[in-house]
Amino acid sequence: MTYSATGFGSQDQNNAKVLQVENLETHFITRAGVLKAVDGVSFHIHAGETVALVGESGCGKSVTALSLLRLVPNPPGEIVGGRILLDGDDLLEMSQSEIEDVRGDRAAMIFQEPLTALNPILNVGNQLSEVILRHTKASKREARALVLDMLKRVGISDPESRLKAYPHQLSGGMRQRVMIAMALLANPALLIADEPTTALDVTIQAQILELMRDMRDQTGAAVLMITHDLGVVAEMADRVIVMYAGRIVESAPVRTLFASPAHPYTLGLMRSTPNLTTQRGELSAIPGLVPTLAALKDMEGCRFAPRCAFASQKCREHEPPLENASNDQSVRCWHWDQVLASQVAV
Amino acid sequence: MQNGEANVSATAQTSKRVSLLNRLYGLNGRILFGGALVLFIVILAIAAPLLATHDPLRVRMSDRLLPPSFDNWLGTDNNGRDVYSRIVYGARISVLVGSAVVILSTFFGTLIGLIAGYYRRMDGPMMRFMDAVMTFPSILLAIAIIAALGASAQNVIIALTVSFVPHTARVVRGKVLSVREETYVESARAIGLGDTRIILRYILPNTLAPLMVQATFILALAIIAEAGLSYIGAGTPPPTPSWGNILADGRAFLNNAWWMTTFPGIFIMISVLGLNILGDGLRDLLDPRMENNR
Repeated sequence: MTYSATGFGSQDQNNAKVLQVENLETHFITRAGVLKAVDGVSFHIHAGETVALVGESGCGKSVTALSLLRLVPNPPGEIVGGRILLDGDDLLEMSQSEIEDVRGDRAAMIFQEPLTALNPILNVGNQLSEVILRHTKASKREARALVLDMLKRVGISDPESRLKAYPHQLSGGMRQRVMIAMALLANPALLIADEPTTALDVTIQAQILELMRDMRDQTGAAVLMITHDLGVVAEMADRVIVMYAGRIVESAPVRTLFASPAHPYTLGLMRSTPNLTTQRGELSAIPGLVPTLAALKDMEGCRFAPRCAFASQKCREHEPPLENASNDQSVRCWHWDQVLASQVAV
Repeated sequence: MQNGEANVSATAQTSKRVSLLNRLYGLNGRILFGGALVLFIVILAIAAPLLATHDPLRVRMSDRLLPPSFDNWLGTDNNGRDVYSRIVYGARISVLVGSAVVILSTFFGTLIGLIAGYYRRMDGPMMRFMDAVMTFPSILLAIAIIAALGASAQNVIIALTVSFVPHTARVVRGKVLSVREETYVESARAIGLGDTRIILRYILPNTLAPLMVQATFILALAIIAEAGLSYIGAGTPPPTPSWGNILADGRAFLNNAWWMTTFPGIFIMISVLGLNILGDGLRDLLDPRMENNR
């Protein structure tokens, strides 16, 4: 690799779990009571692997992402339970200054809207240098050189003059490249991308996704991709985790998930997304709405039951556990065998 | 073709200078006009010894209450002192008190506003206290403080600072509350920056625009307040000239010596008008919602 000189390019993609989340619970304490935005979520990501976290707005996927770096605003949010192991270190047991050392260095984040995620009064050079100056003992001049190098790597043309540019002077795709550069500067082991392409044009989306794939392959970082776009999932992810109302409802390798979704909600998501093979008129919507967090408090049974075509009396009374449908697919549904069977019939 | 290319590169070289000029022209007339009036008063204050034609303190009873003439441009007062020279020296007090109040109230107001806006637990107690101070009319509060401390330029500065700090604190806190919710503050946290650095590098610079506008208005208010306090004898003690006490001296002679009150009044008006026009212009320039008008 040509980038080995900069310390990147570790191709050692062993099967070490970079991130291991166990039973994460993030609650919002409001006047209406305790809202469980993330309710017992567990998953892991290996080095060099991309895991997509999918779900509708309000299902808890962004809160999960913020919880990983302990960025949930407190008050009202609070991580009340679980463990978040980054290379074996529990982030939830760290002191404030220890977690600040981790942020941007061992774990970095890419935000959805790159214009609002960049300080309007800092130029690109100063903004990016901030990461290096924060986490290393490099001088301003050395930081600038590293930033310049990184801007080249993320494909920004004429990087020297871009150093002096302010965020509003850049195009949307360019800004997102700057955000990616900022996230990768410290060579993080974990990269969290919160809907990185949602705010971009389709053509730019493809470029940014390709860039992210390249960067992941070069750095061997574990990537957690938050999205509601199944096209992005198919393009990027190795494994997919589907969230619904604060809970994981299905987790599977991307091919398995697209070929045979075992949870009725995942199936609904697939059917409501158009693709080249769907027949006209076949596009369907999932009836109803995601229950509000406040409504969940008094809910017994499966959270998806009110919207589910497969729901039985058992579903309304008892919540199903997350169980293995096959050795790499787990699903939270009493009737997953029926869900799978229904697809064969079609 | 070659000619055209040469032109292009020449344009590129001068474009920086041109854009600076454009910006100056683009600054609305209000900034230039208001700024010129303020500059005039500041020059008056700085160059007072050069501009004054007489010693502002010299009493000559034979020359009392002379109307404006070639010798005494703006006439003389009831003690035979030259009104023009007294006004020129009086500008020093106004500018001194005004800028000291602006600097002090901006410093303390910003500090309180930043802390109250950023650390939400501090918000309630601090701002309730500020609100309590604000319920007193600022002149009344200043009179009360001066009554306790005694009349002097220094105490005027203290009194006016106390009464203006809550206004600045409020403006800053309001802006901080909106800036702290911006994604770029979250992204600053996500790259591992601590509170202090976030406040200094991300929050404070983004509150500067409303702060500058507020500062120009406080300067105007402080100049009026100083004149008002001196007028009622709670400000700069005589014989040191201040626009307020020149006015106060002239009060008894309104019928036969109009120049003693008219001219200091005009100077107060010029400085306050200039500052308000400047402040309006700055607000338009710095308010992003007015972007299209530029």
